[in-house]
Amino acid sequence: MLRLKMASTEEDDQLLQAVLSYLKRKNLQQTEQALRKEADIQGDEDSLHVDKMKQVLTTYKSAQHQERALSQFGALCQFVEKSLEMYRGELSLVIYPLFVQIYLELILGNQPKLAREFYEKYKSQQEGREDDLIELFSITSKEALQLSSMFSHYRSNKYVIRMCKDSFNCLLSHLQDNSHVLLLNLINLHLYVDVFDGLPKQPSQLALSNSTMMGEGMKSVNQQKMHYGVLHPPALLSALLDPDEYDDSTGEADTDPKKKRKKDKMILATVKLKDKTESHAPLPGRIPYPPLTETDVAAKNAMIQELSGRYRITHGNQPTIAFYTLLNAKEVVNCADLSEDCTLLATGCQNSAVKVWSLNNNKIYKMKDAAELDSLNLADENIIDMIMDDKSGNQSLTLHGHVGPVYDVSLNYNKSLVLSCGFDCTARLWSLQTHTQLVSYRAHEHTVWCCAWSPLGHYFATGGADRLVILWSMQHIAPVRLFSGHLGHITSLCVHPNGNYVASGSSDRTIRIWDMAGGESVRQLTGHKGTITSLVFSPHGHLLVSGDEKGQILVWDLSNGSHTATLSNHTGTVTCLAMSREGGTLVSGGMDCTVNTWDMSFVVDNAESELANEDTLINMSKTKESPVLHLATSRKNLVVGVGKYSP
Amino acid sequence: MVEHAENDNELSSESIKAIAESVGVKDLNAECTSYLATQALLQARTLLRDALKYKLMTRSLDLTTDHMERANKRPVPIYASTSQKPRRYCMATSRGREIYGALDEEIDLDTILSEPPPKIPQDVQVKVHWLTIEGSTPTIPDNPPMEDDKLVIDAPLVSIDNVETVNSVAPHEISREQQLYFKELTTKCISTDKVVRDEAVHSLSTDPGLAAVLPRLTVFIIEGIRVGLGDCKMYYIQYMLEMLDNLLQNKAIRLEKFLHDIIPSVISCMVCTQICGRPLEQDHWLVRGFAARILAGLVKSHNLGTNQIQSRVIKMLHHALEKQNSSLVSTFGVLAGLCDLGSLTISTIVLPEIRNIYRRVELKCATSQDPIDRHAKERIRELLVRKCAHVVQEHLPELLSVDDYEQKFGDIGREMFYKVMRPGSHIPMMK
Repeated sequence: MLRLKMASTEEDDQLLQAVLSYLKRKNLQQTEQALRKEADIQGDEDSLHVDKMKQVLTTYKSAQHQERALSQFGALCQFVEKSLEMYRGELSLVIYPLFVQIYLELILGNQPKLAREFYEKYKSQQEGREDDLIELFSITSKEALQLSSMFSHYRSNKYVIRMCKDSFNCLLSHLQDNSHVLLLNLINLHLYVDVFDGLPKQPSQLALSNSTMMGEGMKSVNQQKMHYGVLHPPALLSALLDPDEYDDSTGEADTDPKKKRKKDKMILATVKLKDKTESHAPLPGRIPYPPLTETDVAAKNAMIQELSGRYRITHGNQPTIAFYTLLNAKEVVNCADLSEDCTLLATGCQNSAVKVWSLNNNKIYKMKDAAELDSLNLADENIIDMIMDDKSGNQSLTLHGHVGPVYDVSLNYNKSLVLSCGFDCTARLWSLQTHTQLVSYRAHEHTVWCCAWSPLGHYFATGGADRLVILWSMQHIAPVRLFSGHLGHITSLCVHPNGNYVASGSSDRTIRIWDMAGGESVRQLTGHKGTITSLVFSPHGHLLVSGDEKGQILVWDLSNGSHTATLSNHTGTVTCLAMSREGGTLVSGGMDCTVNTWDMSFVVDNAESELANEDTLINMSKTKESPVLHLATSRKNLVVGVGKYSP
Repeated sequence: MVEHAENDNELSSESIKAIAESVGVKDLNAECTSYLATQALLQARTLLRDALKYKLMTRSLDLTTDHMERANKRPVPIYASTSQKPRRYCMATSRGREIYGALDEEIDLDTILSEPPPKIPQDVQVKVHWLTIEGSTPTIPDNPPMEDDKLVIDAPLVSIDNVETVNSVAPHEISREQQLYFKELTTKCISTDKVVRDEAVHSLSTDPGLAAVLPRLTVFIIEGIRVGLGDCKMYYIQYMLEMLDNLLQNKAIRLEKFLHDIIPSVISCMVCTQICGRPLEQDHWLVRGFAARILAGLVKSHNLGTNQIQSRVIKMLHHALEKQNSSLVSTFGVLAGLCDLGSLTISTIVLPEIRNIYRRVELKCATSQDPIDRHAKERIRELLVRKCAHVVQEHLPELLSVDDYEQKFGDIGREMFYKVMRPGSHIPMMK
């Protein structure tokens, strides 16, 4: 009251008026009288309008708050700087979200000038966030905040920070001792601090948690049970073993002790691999799949046969890369996919067509008409060949049906079906036998960015700009599962080799792994600094590799969702990833027109340690002005790439 | 409203006002202007950010208008087809029944058919090649050039005509930089801008780094002379001779290996019957004289006991001189060449023959109707007098009087005598 009396400025007068009007409105006459008396104001002719009164009162409140919040934030920055080095890294994690929250508070409190001053003062302290800060700075009004794909979530979701108990206590005592209630409030409202026992995080771990969009994944999420193993058939299992080391042990000689040892070694390795893959595998039938047909079994056996004697890529054995260049494809072709045996290439085009090419001499045949099919003798041995029309053979096939650009295509495991999705919010299933569209799957509300088949067929997933991942089965035209939780567009999908989980990468810089059985997110992987653009599981299922738009490739251990390694050699978006058949090599392609080959076995063996590119990078090949759209490894570990020539 | 005035990215109020005026709104107030500016900015930013997503997902290197368009139009899931206009029907009566048929718009087929068909875009094609074979990149056109050439522009060097010839004739490869330099140099040497040309040509006499492009340069000059002679473009020949002259002065390079090409070309310039379009008006005599000087320079600087260039050249010229039916223009050229080769050559080759030569020239001139022959005769006389008089004085000091001269050299002797006896010159008669 004393302060009010002394106030002489117009602003304070107005405030006083507002308080009086408020009291009058609430019919608190005694107080009003007292205030009038004390403030020496007579008459009530100048009582304020209700709206005006509200505005004045709220501004007063927020202005007071804001100034205090700014000073408290300054004190926090100093405190973090002066804190013990051990805790400094973890404590500094709090600064960025608080910085954003205070800035947004100022903007929402209609104080853009103050907000700008605050921004200019503290922006230099937010290292590694330069791109995000540009977006933040462009927010100058409430509408802008709602339109921002990144910062709109800061008001509605909690930013997750993981820190050790000691660091957290340190922070708390600083805030409480100085009674920085405003910051505590902000932390309570908008931050979630996931406290764990143990030592503070290492710098490498801190670097990962530094540039995510909404903080880190919670440990509790990543502790859920996940069946990341794969039940390989025994024949495949032995075929996947390192051919170099165990190759010649199949010969005559148990008598030769050297060979015997080798054979023992091989058996041991088989057991080890079996243990590794099978102990964590889901029970067969956890996700129901239709039984394999006779042709599928034959094809699979042929595949396993072909795997033996494959090329092994190491530093000494450099990779061989065959590259399919799409000419006249700049601004025409958006995406590409290769079949498992690398004989078919499917592309999705800007002009809404899906085009399929045969890459070997086998032409693409169309099935005969129904009337002709009727006349065939089903008992005939060559019935499979006879149902195809010999005259229809062609090297390529164009499928029309989409009503807008196609953004992703996927060929199924036995080359009979193509899946495509695009701007028209649909995913479409095409038959390569009848050359027609079979189903148009509609559930997405916005552009569908990506689609992926399960490696075992039958199920597939789609994801789009509506932030949903949808699981479909070929049996139903309605979704089987809706996976929601991502805060940004779904930009990349991959189905686990055991066909039980879907991994999705998003523009919110997180990767989530969804359980197809229960529908819940069993892993949430954070650490990328940009939109995730490519994902691939290792063939044995225990690793996930992801690439982002900034050119970084991260390797994740699925057993606990921890980060294993970072591989960075790309200077542009990593558009595609592929692993060799036994999982020993990773190939990555990017918009920077390079194909990089990485030594995965080395990366896995030296997890958690600093890796130099000389050790991990086997080869880097530059294409001629052709961004790489897709990569695959053939059964003999020949790397096959697809790119579009974009001069 | 919010104060944004000092924000640099803001759309200016002038442009907002201009837009408002274009739709007929005059005097838009400041608040509206500021609101519009903020909103426009916000929309543009949002649109751009969304367009970037489309760019990323189409795996495109550049942001195109298509990406913007897609970002601007939020896709609407299609569940059924709709029509922009309400359907219209018309009634038709047939055999007493009323039938309503859809009233379809009639399209004039002729206009469609008569229009030229739009250009069909090139279809996408797939081409396969080896990007890497066991770690090494094959050097094929499908793969990018090696790392060393990275700095050099990939532009093909075909803009001047001679390069292809150069490539097929030249004995060894030259680097991209050298090719670029060669292209630049030759283009400038034949430039029509005198300043540029002089500068480039002059650089030939000083540049020490010419050795690598020398094979191509000589081919360029030789071919240039050939073309110039064929098309009777004297200025062209002149440029080439200037280049040769400057090359000759360059101490850092050695022309020995190219003499077998250069010398015949230069001699051609001297003796060719016609080297210009209008021989009566243009001073081709000067060019021939210039060529003769260059020949002399070449012979002088490269004559060795092993190659005997001098004797071979003299032999050739002498042989040409003795030809009875050669044109007077050619004779001039031969004489100019011989006279430039030094006093010894003149005294041993020219002087003994001078009487016969001149008689033949006069005879030919008398019988010929061609005015060019008269010119040639004058030039030959002038040349012989100018070049030979002093040699006579030096090598035949026994000739003292006009009569001696006339007796020895025929009609031209008198003039030579007077040339020698010209005031200011050394007068042997005084002895």
